[in-house]
Amino acid sequence: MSGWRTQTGWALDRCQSLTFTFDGKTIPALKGDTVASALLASGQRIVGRSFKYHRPRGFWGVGSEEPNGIADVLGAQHRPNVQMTLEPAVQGLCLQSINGHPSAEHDRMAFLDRFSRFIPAAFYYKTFMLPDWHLFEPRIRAMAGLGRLDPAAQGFGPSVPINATCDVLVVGAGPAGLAAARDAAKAGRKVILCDEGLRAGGSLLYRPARIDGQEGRDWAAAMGADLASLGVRILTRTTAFGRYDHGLTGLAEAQPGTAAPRIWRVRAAETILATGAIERSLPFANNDLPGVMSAEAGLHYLNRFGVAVGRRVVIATTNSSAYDTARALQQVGAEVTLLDLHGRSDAGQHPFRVIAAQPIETALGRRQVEAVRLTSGERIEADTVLVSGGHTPSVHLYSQAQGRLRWDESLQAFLPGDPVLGLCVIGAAAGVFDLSRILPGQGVEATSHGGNAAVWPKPMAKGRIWLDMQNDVTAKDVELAHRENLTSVEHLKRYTTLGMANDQGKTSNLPGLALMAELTGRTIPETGTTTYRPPFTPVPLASFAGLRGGQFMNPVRRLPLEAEHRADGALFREYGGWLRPAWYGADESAVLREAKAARQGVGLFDGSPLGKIEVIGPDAAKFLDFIYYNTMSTLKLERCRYGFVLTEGGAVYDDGVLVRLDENRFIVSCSSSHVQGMGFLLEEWRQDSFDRSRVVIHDTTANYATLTVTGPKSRELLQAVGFAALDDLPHMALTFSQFEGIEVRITRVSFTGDRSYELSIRADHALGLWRRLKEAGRAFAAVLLGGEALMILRAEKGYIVVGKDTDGRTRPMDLGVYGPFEKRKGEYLGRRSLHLPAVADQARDLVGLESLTAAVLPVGAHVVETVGGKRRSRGFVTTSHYSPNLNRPIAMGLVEGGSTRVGEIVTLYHLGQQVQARIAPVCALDPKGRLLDA
Amino acid sequence: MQLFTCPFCGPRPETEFHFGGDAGNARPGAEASAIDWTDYLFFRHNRKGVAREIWMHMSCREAFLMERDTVTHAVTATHALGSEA
Amino acid sequence: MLELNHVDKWASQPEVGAILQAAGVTARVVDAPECRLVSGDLAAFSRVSGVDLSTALRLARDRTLVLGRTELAPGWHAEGFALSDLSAGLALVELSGTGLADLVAKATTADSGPSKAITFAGIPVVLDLKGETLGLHIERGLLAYLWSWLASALQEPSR
Repeated sequence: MSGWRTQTGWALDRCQSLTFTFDGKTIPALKGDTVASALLASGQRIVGRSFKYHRPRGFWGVGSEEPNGIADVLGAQHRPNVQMTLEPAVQGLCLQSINGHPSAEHDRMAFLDRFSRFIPAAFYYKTFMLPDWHLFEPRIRAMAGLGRLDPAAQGFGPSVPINATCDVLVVGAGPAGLAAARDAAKAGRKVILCDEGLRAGGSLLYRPARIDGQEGRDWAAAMGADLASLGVRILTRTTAFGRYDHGLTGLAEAQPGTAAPRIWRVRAAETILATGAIERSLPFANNDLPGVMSAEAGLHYLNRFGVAVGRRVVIATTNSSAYDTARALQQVGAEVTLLDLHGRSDAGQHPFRVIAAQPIETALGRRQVEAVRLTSGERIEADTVLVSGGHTPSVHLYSQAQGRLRWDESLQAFLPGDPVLGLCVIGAAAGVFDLSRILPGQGVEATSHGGNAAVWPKPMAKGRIWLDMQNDVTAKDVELAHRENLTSVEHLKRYTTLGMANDQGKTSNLPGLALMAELTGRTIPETGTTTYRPPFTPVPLASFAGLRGGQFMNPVRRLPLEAEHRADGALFREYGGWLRPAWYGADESAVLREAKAARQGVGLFDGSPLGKIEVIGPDAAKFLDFIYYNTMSTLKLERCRYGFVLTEGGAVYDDGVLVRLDENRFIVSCSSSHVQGMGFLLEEWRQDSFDRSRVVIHDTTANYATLTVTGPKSRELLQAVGFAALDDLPHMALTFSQFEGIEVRITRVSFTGDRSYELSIRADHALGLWRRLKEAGRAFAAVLLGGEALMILRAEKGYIVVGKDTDGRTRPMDLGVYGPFEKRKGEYLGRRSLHLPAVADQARDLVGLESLTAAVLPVGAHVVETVGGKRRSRGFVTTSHYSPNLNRPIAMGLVEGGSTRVGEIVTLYHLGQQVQARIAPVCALDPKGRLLDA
Repeated sequence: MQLFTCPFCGPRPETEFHFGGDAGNARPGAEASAIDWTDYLFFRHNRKGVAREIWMHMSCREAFLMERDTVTHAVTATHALGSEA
Repeated sequence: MLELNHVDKWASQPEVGAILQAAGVTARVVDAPECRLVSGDLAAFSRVSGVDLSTALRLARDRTLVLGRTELAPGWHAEGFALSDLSAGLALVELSGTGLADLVAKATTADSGPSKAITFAGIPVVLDLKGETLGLHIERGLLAYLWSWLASALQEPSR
């Protein structure tokens, strides 16, 4: 007593049969079937179990409006929560129904329905709370829910989003959309047409109609060919899921295999929404029984997929469109009774029984429809009930574009109101249901829609009347929300979960708010709708991600000498957006060896990511005086000066060395992790406060490799390579030389505290110089220095790393640099903030911290004091290492009043442990800086 | 994804732009009071409706003025700042 | 426990001469030409250097990327412009083939307009369209990323 295969069904290729499995059962199908049509044809009625009550459910619809027919695709092609109505049947597909264990037919949890009184809407706010709701939650979640995700599955394959522009985007390839696309294409405009179905055609694919003497379906096919020849791009299995700003519409195009749907970002000058309308259900008790379906779906399954959904069919309708369904089913031999709720009873005209104005009171049956009882008391035996309460226009994209809906009383529907720029709505989506009005003057012969009356659920109705079948919400739940004073539609939605499932209330929102309107004595437009948001149907996150994941997420920058470092056994880590050697060698013990050897002899370090932003122009010096905390215009030619750049709030944003090449040319040598930020800062102020024709900013960081030679033997090594006359080069000065004909800028500057030289050479000539340095270095036992060892060397000297030894509040005075604050006259970034007392009150000084034991202090440990019984933080450890040159731990930290507390013992607190430390000067090694000239 | 028009480059996706604050938030002079200075740092008009804002197009580094409706997201105008170089 | 060498998370940098062919597109890493960044009075630069500005890659209202050698020294020029060498700072990938339009639709959104500086595959790129060949000038440190991106975008199943 259920569905069966007929001789109709133009979409089927009867020569190609296939099978797939559903809940372990083998289901026969034909090429052209969807999973839903094949299941219906095989007589399968129960295809899932409902979310909360585990009630048996069957298919209701035929497209994306389907609330019940969801399954997981298992195996290598695993995808959870697939809508079976839109899924093509293919050989070997393996499907598992959702929420039914072990199967939809036989579900262990079906007993839950008997306790439905205790688990109405929002039960979890009132029950299962004590002693601790966490005890109940996992079990409740396991019992409810839709699909099941297989953790071992691969997930969606990548698909890269496509950006497209066009003159006209037409959403929906039914008769209205096809006609609009053709008109636009004929006018010479670039058109994209999309449709969520397998083919273009919309209702013409199943509803009988003649257009200009042609069958509707043939007319649609001819239009498709016409459009293709006019250059229209037609995308099928493509849902327009969201409308975004500035004329952008997001489309999701289904992909073969397991690739995620591909997103199209379409920017159109004009978008035409021909999105159709969704058939409405009717309210009666047990209207969720398998066998209760949309009348339109019944017609669609029959004419297109060759499936009659039942043998003894009752059709209840408020409008004339369902008569097409009645006639078609009658013709294939089903026993049809039509309940015309509008009162037309021209019984004699039809080959089936027509009953006027007698609504259904209840559907009867245990696991599927067995009969219906009308309000008159009459009982009609049936295995199927096809319902039509009119159609609700799909206005989602219009509303997402901030269009305001207006209520049309005669159509009992929300329609697009005031026009939205760049958007227009046509066809059934605009409340125009008759084909003759959609295609005027084209000799249309089709059944008129005959009004769009609806039947809304009434308060105090008997029995369980289902509104949202996906989330198991009944009319009584709406009444409950009303009793609890949650009467706004937004509260109704969240309290009952009406409209919150995959189907987003496509068939349930309107009946729910109509009932709430009646309960609260308001009209439907006064009650209003909830906010429409994308996506219209679910879109996997993988679609939005595209390729952005794995190695494509936050790409690191690569060194010019990376291959050479690899060959030298470097272990790489990410530092400030670059992939750089952390150390050279098999394990981390190399770090201490490198740090020790570099200070005893000479170390070679690849510092290529160091910023080299050129500031050029007659106003460059004046400009840099404004940018830096320190006066820079007094910097002599071929000299460099260490300075800070502050935020306008007075905090240190970056530190670095400014190099002066000539009167009008400087290089901002900012930290490698701040190059992008400094570049934008310089540009912003150049354009805001200076004459842009007199100072320019050029980021040349990538042009040069910077190779650092550091240690007491550094000068000898460079002389051995051929760089003479370095004896005369004072610290913080630069000179130019050559290597194999290529210019090398040698800057004597130190981040290690030892005598140190930075050699900058064009990146494409760096390899030769680096190899020469290594070769010459052998005579000096030169060591290759990785990032980790460099961090130890600078920490031994108390040299800061901005962002590690400073935070968003650290001012230059906290780092002991008072000069400019006290003496500078001119204006510079952040100056005014430094003079704000409130800023000074929160100061923490950077100090050294000595461990009292052999243990290295934990980074991030807080300096704590107990004040009034409470433990308060007075600062924290920012840097901490074992020093191989001092043979003891060293550390730095930001501590309140630290500079006046040198010698004091403080308590550090970290992860439940306390340890003591002594405040010390920030420079632990060679405080007089003698090593710089060693 | 919004579309903003750089006065030099033309229409580009919003991800190429950086918000630079309210237009007209001029940097106070050296003798500014604490209130004037902190207003400059932190006070935002946060207008509902038409706003005048400074944006930077990161691709070409042009800072410019954009008139934008903060409710409808409609961009009514973009202007280059100052004189052309 | 073996320490993860993070360099193994990413593909290595392609050499000049590397070729990728898929989905109707040929991608090639080519030798990047000498080039200079010029800012300021571009008309003055053109007069002084003899370079035709239409052959340069305009980046901004007052900035352009000049391909090839010039005798002008780096730094400020009194005529009102500044020049910096960027010859070793950029890598060049050339794309051609029937699938080029489809690939560009995946990589970028809008028409580039008068500026050749756009965002392509999520990174800043300077476009140089010469006939049917599209040149992408990118910061040399990002070449490996772009090359991997192109390989993945061209090899994913197309429409």
